[in-house]
Amino acid sequence: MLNHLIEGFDSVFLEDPERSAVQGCLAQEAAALMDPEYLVSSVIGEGEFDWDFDSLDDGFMKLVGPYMAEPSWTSVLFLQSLREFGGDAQRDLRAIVFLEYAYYSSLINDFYNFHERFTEFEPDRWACSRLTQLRYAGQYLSKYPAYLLINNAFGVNQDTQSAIHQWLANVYVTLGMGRGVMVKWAHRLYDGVKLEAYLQNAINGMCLYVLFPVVLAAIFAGVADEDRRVLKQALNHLTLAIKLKLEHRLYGATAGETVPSELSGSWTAASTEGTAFLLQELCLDPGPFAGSRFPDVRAVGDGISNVVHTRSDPAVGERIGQMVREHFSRFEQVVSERGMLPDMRNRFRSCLFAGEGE
Amino acid sequence: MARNLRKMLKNMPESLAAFYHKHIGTIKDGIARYFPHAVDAPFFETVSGQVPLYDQDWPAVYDSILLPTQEYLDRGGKVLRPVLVALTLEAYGLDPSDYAAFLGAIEVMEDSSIIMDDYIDNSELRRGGPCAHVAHGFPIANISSCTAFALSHYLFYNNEMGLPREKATRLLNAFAWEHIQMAYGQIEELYWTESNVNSVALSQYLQETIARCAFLSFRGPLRYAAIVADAPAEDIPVLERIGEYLLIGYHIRGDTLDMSPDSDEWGKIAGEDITTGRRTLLINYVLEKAEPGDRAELERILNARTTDERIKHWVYDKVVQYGGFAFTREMARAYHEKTREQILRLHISERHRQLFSEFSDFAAMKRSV
Repeated sequence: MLNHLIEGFDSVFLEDPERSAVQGCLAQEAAALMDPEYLVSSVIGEGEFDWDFDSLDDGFMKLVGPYMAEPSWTSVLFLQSLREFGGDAQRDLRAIVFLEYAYYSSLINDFYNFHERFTEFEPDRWACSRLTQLRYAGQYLSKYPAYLLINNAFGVNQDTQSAIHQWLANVYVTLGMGRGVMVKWAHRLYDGVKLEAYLQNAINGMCLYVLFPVVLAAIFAGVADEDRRVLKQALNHLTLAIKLKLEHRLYGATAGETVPSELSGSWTAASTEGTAFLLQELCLDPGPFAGSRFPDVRAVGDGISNVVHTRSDPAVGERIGQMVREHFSRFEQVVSERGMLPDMRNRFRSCLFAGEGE
Repeated sequence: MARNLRKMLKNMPESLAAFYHKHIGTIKDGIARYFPHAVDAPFFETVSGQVPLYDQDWPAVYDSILLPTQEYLDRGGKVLRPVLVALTLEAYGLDPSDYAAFLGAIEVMEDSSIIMDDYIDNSELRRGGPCAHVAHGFPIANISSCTAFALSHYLFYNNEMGLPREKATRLLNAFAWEHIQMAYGQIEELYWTESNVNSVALSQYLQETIARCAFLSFRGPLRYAAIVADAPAEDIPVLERIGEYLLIGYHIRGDTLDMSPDSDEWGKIAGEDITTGRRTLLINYVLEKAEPGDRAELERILNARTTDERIKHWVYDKVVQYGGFAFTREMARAYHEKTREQILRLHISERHRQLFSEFSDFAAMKRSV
């Protein structure tokens, strides 16, 4: 996903050895995920009665497989920041399973949450039921990696173990709030939404992409609580810089971008052009949504894009570009003061301001 | 709803009812203090571990995340899980009234998770009101259920009870392990239902039930409370076994009541398991015992996701004809007995043995829907 969200991400962040290490680790974990012996010995235990491992293939992997086709590449941010914090990227490589499985699960949840079927007044029971099966397969993906913590696969102390548990819960809560509010706003066609709330919600809704991996790396590396608190604030500014840069790119484009269908729900969440919409104090025509009790989030996102592009204003594009610079500058300032992440700062600067002479 | 609680307490064995009366105030207070009726920046910080950069639309956060669970809480449930936690804490020497937030958190976990059950079943009513997906739509029901369930653990991941690090970590590991089990069990059950698998063995059904439900019914609460109360190490596996046996009895009773609920006041609709095509213990039993013609007809009905009352009655008649209710009644009784045997192994007082035993009797034999 990061390669879709951030222009130039591939060339700046995805170095070959790193890419191979991530892919190798994920392939190994995917094999373990489908191995009944491994599941019994390391994940779900023997149980008093009998597990049904036939469910694994048809009831799980066939459903989630398409969503696991490509990692988010947040793993790379984890590994690079872990090194910068003085951690051991080789020893803790498997922690990328937390990141990527949470991401796969979020793709599935977003596919589910934004499905047009749910906008119908009386959704078809069969169709909902099938979607719900997919959503639960996604839930297993989000819960499964915790076995690494339970078994203490990383050999960390209990403070670190607890801090990881806490951070995983923090991230799920933050992401959930981001999505919940987004759906709620879509249901009311963004009427009355304030720009500040929109930006905060963008931070929450995109917490998987930068905040999650980098703070996880800080926990693994034993970065002090106070520094982690400051780091979170800085990463929230970076998240906004990435989000606004994406909106800036889309605002200047004549056509929307397409992503693989499995990514489309999460892409909608990230790419909705709310900033221009709110800066210009625009409204959506309720007409097209009159037939739905719960308007479709994707259709609302498309509606926002249409209105924004119809009323395109170069000053608004310039304002969004300025906001990108402001938030990135704030990110740089905070992490520089603490002497954190010099390499990552440079890489992000290269991506976000390529050709701008920043 | 108070009428329903009175009815439930009337069915409850005497000592357990007295224990319930004694602690219900603490439980309600715990729920009220733990799960707010509004959200603000400090609450966000508590549950997300972050200070917001900007002022959020807090009413929208509340409406989309907390409100659906709050509606269920406000309608009032049986609060059996917090009662079991209180019972375990007391059995191992702690005063439950000092752990109101713990009791509240357990009920919030329960109510946020039953939102998921309701949209899996596509139910319409819960506790006399509309289910979350009916009132708020499937997406909000899904998001709020997952998120409220995650944040219902903040007492533990923030270690707000001030437990020693070793104990706090054990507790977090216990939650995480139960969640993995729950998710795996859910995959099995939905696969069987969606793919119309009609050959589920009894041992697979029981394992799936334990995996899917025991995180709250009742292995989880027993285990979490035992960790907090420093129960003797040798009691913990016994408590886990008790929790699993209690669940089996409780679950069988639930499946049976779904076919013939003894009260419509809890807001469930009879025969939902037939409509959803769920392969419950009763259904699996009848599929196994039925004559070929009846079996084929039952499979056709389960695959059709019918809401037709006449057809559901046909299934009910077949359950009676093939002795399904007698089978499940006997099985519930057998697991109640197994539970009692395990209770005798615990290092607790006679009074608490009696209370655990009464809990089992109530859960497996006497509860309403």
